[in-house]
Amino acid sequence: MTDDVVRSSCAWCGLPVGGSTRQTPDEPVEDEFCCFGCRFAAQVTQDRGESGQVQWTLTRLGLAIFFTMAVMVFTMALWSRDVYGTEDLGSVGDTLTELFRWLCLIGALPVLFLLGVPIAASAVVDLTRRRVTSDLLVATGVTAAFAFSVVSLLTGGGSVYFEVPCMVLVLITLGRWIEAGGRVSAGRLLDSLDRLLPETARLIHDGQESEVATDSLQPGDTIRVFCGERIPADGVLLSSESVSIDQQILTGESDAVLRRSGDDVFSGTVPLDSEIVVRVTRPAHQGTLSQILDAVQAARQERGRYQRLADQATTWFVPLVAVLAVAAFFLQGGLTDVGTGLLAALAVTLIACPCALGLATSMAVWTALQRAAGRGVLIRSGEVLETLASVRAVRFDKTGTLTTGHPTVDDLLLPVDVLENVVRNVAAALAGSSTHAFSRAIVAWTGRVEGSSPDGGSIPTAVEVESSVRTLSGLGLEADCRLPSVERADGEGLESQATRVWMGSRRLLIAEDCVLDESLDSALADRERHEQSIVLLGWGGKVRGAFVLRETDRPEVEAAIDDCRNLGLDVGILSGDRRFRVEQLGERLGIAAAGELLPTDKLAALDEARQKFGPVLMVGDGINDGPALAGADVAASLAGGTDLSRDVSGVCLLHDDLAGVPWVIALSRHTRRIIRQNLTWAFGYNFVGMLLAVAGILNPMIAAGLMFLSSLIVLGNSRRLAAFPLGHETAPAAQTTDEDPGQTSEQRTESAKRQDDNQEHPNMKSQPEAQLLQTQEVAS
Amino acid sequence: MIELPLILMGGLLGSGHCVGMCGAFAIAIGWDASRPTANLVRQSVYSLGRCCTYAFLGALAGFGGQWMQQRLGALASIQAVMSLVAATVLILMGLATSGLLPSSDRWLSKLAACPAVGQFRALLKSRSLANVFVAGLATGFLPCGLVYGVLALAISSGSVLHGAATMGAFGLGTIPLMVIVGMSGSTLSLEMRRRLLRVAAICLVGAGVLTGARGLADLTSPSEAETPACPFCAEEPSADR
Repeated sequence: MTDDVVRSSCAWCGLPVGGSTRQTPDEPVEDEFCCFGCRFAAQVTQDRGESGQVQWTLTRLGLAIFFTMAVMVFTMALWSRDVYGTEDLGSVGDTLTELFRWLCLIGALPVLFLLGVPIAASAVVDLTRRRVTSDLLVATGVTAAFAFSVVSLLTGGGSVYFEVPCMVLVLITLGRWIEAGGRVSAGRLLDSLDRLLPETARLIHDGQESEVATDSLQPGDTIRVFCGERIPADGVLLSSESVSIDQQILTGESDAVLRRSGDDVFSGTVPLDSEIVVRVTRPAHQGTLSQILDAVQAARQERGRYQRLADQATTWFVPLVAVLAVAAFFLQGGLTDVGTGLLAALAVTLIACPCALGLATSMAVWTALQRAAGRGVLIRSGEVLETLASVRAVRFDKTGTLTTGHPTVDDLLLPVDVLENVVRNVAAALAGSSTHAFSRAIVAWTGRVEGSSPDGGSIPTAVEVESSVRTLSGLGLEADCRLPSVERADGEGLESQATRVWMGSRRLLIAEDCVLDESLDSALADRERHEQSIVLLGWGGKVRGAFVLRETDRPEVEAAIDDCRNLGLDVGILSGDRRFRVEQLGERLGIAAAGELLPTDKLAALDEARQKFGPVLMVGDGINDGPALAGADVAASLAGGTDLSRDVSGVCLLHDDLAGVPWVIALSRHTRRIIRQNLTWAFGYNFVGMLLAVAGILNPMIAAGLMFLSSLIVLGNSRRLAAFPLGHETAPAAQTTDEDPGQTSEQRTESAKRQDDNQEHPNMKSQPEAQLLQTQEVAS
Repeated sequence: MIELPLILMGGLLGSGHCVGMCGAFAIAIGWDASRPTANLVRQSVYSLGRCCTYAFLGALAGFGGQWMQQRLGALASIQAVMSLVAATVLILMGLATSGLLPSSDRWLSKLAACPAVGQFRALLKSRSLANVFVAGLATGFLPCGLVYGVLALAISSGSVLHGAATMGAFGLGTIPLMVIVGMSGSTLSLEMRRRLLRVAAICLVGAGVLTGARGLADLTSPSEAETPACPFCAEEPSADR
């Protein structure tokens, strides 16, 4: 049922427009606004046009203020006379009084026309969209107060209240305009990111370079990006040199990261020290940046529990207020006179304006979503944010989550009398043509130890691969190589010879009749008992070397888990991996760990945790733990570089940074606190104000001012979330020695450094925004 | 009403201060006026807008003063106290204007970050006279030490019309120099401004001293507040009660 309703968002501030609309996707989209303030603000900016000229809307407000000031002066003069009996000038005074009363009318007329008509029109537009808004009540009240004053002026007696409609209209217009400005400034930052992508790209085609529209880029295109330019689309770096890339726009991290040829680069990031050539892998509008923006935009439309609560209240509010206003009118009208009754009714409608209530949740949620996006944490909806705040337990997957998913070579074990150099070169030659995680680890390792070996000597160790390397699925690699002799002692000669070489699992090597040296075998058995994987290399009927690999913990794991515990969460590991490995990791981190779990076991474990502690957050890599992620109350996935549109988790850690898990939970709790404050304030203020208004104590002008103030308080309180500390980005680089070489370790040390910076200068947190704004200014 | 000419002079000469702050606005207003007469009209309309706001603020202040007098009427010397407060503020502002006291305009720079500034700029450059007028109205609300000083005086006047007149006189006083600056398209030399400011400061302090004297006189004869006790007050209509 609700699916049929097209949820539209305000054309000015982007917040969802309440109520059902009759628009369907096929109809031409007409601008919709969530409130009068947004409609007004949009008009002000539209009016300005290209020449930067202000036109009618703002002038209208300015002139209305002038007339209101005039009315106020005359009114004050009248009050002086009526109330305090001063400025008594005899019969001249009476004439003067009459004159002032008429001047008030003359001053009030233009205000009514200038500001009253737009509000009434806005109310009518809302009516046609089947939304009854408080604008309607305000317009009615203002008209009534004015009409009453005119009647009492014409009939001679009675009080006039021309200043009330004037002041109310001015304050409402001004207040809503400023409020709309505050709302849009909250959203503008992120929306403007999209516009940062260059409109054209330099396409390289057959050695020719041509300028094409960014939108026309297709996967497979090759483009050149100059130093300091934003990369227009996601792609793979082709340039041979490594280059520092500023990824701040995506991750919020101010320090550049190093990227090498073959690495992914993302749209919106900037190469800093040289121009680069990129092979496009995704059309520009599906790039990482656009996906993030789309996701945040989509999240904005989703309504969480608190938001629905506020929505419901808002729906209830208007009719309720109308009833109360009428009641106040009769009550005060009966007690004193019609004029007082009218004022009381108007005060009720003003004080009860649900602006603050409407803003209370949406502003907070929205600001939090954006803050998270700025930290590289994508939250899919306000509902997810609200659930996150109630999470009591966190369960982590192991492989690819607590560990990097990129194993590293721990050791190379050799049978006696085998030259390490040769084995290393053979291994490098084979592994170099494979993308398997183990192969990459071996290539990285051989590259690192090259030249450091003592027994290089004069013996030629060059290896030539004669055939292409074949991948034996699930087993390993196979190739024909021309090898130098490897056995030092037996003097078979140093002539190189063609041999078939295998590298892979024990199963493969046994199948190919390669025999394991006994000492090597026992050494391996010992390693395998621990959490280590083995890759064997062999030829000529013998296993010639054994690579010992192991998984690397993410460097921030310990700090992240500590932070989770400090938040009072129950932390545990759920993994499908072999039990002893999982348990060992759990022991090292000091948390409960369960291994060898089937997907159904994981679900059962999640259920158990839920019953014991409460809502559970499951953190996985989003690839091989889908069911568990789906079974948790909230799921978070580390999704660096993957296609966001395919990711189903409620929370995406774009940065592959586990520290984002405790951070986002802290953020969500802070958001919930702020939402509660906002709602308490909005309800409380409305309630107390309403009582005063019904009692006839509250002047409508003050009510209008209070309404404005109340919205500002809610806005300001919500904006506090925009300053939520980005906090611990990454734990201090503890295990960088075992890392892949290159960018990862650098990234980490840089992160650690930045973290220190953050602690020293709290103001640094807003640096990304500041830089962004600068960029925009330069651009415009 | 003896302060009114002094206030006018204070405005006239104190507008050296205005030129420093708001001179840029005046120049922006005359920026693309085709003929000097057109510019003159624009400048006048702009300054008129400012005066309207000043008068309004003055009326508000006067009403506030009146309200206070009514509410705190039990304190017979309220009028005197308010005069003394206004005198103190005037003298302080005068001293600040002359540079003897640190100026309080520093936080104005923060205002420049306000998004409304962009709208304001657009208003200033708008061709329509209505917008120029609105820009003038807005300028009148800008925080300004001189304005505060005179506002204090307007409060002590304790009358809506008197308050409006006080501020209006001040506003009128600021018109000539602002129009000249707007017409000539350049601000005055720093030295010139400094000299003007010094004279303006003397005027302000003078107004302050006068007000203070009146306040003191009121204070010394509180029981006879109805009959003017000093020559300065004698010139006023018996408005302040």
